[in-house]
Amino acid sequence: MRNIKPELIALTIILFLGSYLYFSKLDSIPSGLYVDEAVTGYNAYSLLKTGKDEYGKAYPVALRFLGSYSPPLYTYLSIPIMAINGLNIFSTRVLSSISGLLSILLVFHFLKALKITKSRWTPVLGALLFAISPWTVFYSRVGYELYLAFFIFALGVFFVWQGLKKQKLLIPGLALLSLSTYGAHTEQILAPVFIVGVTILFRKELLAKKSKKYFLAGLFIAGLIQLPYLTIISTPALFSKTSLFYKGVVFTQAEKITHFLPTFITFPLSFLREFLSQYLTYFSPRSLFFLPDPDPQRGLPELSVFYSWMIIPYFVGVYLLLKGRKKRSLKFILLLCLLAPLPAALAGDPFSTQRALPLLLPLIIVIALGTDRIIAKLKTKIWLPALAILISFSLLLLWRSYFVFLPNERAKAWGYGFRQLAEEIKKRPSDKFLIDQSRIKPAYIELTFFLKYPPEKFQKELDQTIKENYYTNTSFSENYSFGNIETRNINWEEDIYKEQILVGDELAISEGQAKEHFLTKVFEIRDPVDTIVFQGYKTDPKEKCAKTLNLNPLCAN
Amino acid sequence: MSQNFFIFVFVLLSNLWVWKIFGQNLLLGLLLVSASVLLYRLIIHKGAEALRYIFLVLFALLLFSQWQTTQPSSLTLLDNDQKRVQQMRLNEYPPIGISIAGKKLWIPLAHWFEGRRETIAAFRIKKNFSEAIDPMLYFFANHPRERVGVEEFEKFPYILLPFFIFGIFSLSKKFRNKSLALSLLAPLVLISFIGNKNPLGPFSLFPFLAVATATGITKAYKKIALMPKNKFKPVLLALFALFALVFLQVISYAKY
Repeated sequence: MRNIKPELIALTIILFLGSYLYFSKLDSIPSGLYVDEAVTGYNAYSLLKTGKDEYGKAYPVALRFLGSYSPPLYTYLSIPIMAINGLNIFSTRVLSSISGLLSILLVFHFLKALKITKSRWTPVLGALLFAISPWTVFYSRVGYELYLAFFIFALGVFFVWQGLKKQKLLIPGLALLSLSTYGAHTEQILAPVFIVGVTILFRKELLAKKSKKYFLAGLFIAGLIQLPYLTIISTPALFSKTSLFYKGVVFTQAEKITHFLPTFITFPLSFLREFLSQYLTYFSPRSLFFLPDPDPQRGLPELSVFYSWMIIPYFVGVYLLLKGRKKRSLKFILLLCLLAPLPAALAGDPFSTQRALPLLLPLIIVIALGTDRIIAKLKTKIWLPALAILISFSLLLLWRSYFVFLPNERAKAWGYGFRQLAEEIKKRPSDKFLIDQSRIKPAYIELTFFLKYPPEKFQKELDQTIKENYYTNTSFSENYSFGNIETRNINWEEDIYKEQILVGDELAISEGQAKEHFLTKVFEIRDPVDTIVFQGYKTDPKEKCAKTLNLNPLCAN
Repeated sequence: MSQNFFIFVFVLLSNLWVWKIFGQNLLLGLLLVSASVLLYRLIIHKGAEALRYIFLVLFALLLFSQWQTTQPSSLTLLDNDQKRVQQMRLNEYPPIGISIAGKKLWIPLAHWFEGRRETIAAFRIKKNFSEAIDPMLYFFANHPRERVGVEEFEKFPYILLPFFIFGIFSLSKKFRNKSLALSLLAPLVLISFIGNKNPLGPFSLFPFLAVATATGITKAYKKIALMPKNKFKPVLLALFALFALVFLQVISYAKY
């Protein structure tokens, strides 16, 4: 026992804390199941049962999810989990939680390996700050690709850093970076850019005699890993997120400058400002420490991606980073810091925490660096209790935002109600259901998930031409028909003359419409804050026809 | 006029913010420029003690103007919608309690977080502070995260942001200078408490921003000046041309 280092004991405690934060109530918080999680989970289930995805395509290189193409790694790695634990919310999310837990270890070892801190406790503190940061907790509990991709990318970065000293490690480092491109869209851009950046900045080390062969071998393996992507390089599947670029904004802003400047200058100038503002917002204190992600599904109520007090170690860390930018380790972190927000800055969302997720790694290192310098200036009896108070208070704020507010206030944004709707559908196997699609995310995938709809049956019920042009047919319709369910917008001129249950929210079916068309409410689903998410109304075509004197041609049926 | 001071004057006048202030209140504009010039003198040239006192008086007047021109917003009062959210949130908390000697002791966490005036005030102070401290407010009119219900306007041309950061970095050793620390901290504290509802923005931070940016440009200029003569002039011209273009762009955005 004497040989066990106190840092390792502390790290074990942090891992326990992380396990609690990432795994507890995983199937119920966030409440509901977001559409991206449903499509991931159901496709993993479909691949497990049939070896094909929802469209009947055998093991695709990029998965056709809701009209876009997603990197497939998370879905494929979820297959064994589905085999063991079945199709449910926990199985869909647990891979992110495991990635989160492993990332704590990674951050600890990375901080140790960088040797940029003075205190022996800083790697432990860095791991702790990382483990409890809202950015980590939130995405460690999300059932789609982001956190796994982050972990693989971060591991690749770590190995590349280690590889600058122990050259053999360049091979797994570059291979992991290449593999991360199968993790998420962000890494598809970031990983190659980072490899180029490291190659330019550390060319002397990488191309030195003793490391050149490992570097080239690593590049070769990284290239081999890219072979599956090369098979679809000429299709839109590999570049399906280009539509996120803010072309429209650049054009609109350029118009404003045309009063003063010729057109050939206005566009680059307009792009420059838009890009810089999008890019720099990822370093803005207000965005990092005070404001949540503006998207209600991706943000925590009242909590940003880091705790507000971390602004102090952040400023100190940035200062030290800039001051020591010529040191090899800090140059490496500065490079990562500057490159990580690039993919997010090219998309139009103001502060996308999911696209900028790789930035979490350099920023936590910067914050740890700042913390290290602050605690070095203070006596232990001062910094230790102060930090204990700050961390306890941070955990309280996290509990308030994540475990109290989020499951209540963001239930609808997270697809709450589909599980209950599936139960209602199961209760009435002989009824036909029409789900109004006008104001909700694609309902078909949520229902196939919760109904555990047999994938082989679902594949047959879909348009078979999609499978044939899988990587080129990018059109997507939210209208689906499978089993006793149809998802599309309600057509009030026809649907009331058919025997079925109409499902929609309060705006889709008003009480006035129910009265006018002789609809009978058969169920109602409310979210935790008592807002109606779904209500089901049974039609009465006979009564409707009788009251309208059988004038409608559909009454003849 | 020294080269450094010329750069400072250039920063002082080549932004839309100062002209907006002059346009609305000539006296305030003069106060702002005077305080900025004095701060610059104190930081760069370590002026006489008398100069420091004059600066303190002018800066106090500037803070007073900030307070007077800001529409007061209560730190604790809730409007109807905020009251609705407060009630909703009070009901969202689970009961929290600990058992001591067979007795249950309830902890009113919900009330502490959502109901107490001190907590409400603390969250609002935090929000006000976050808005004032963000460089995006001063260089990008808060784009792309504009505030709801606030008319954002362009202040400094965004091309000056790197110089501002470089300036802060260069000035970091001078933060023990009381005037410099005061010019940053006093407005931040004041704005955190009185809020940001001011049509002219947090102008009491203007002297600090101008001095930091000018310092950054001066340092950058010195680095450029080390270049060979055949490169020095083209680089300088290119930078100036870029600044002119960005300045026109910022004017266009403000106007249209």
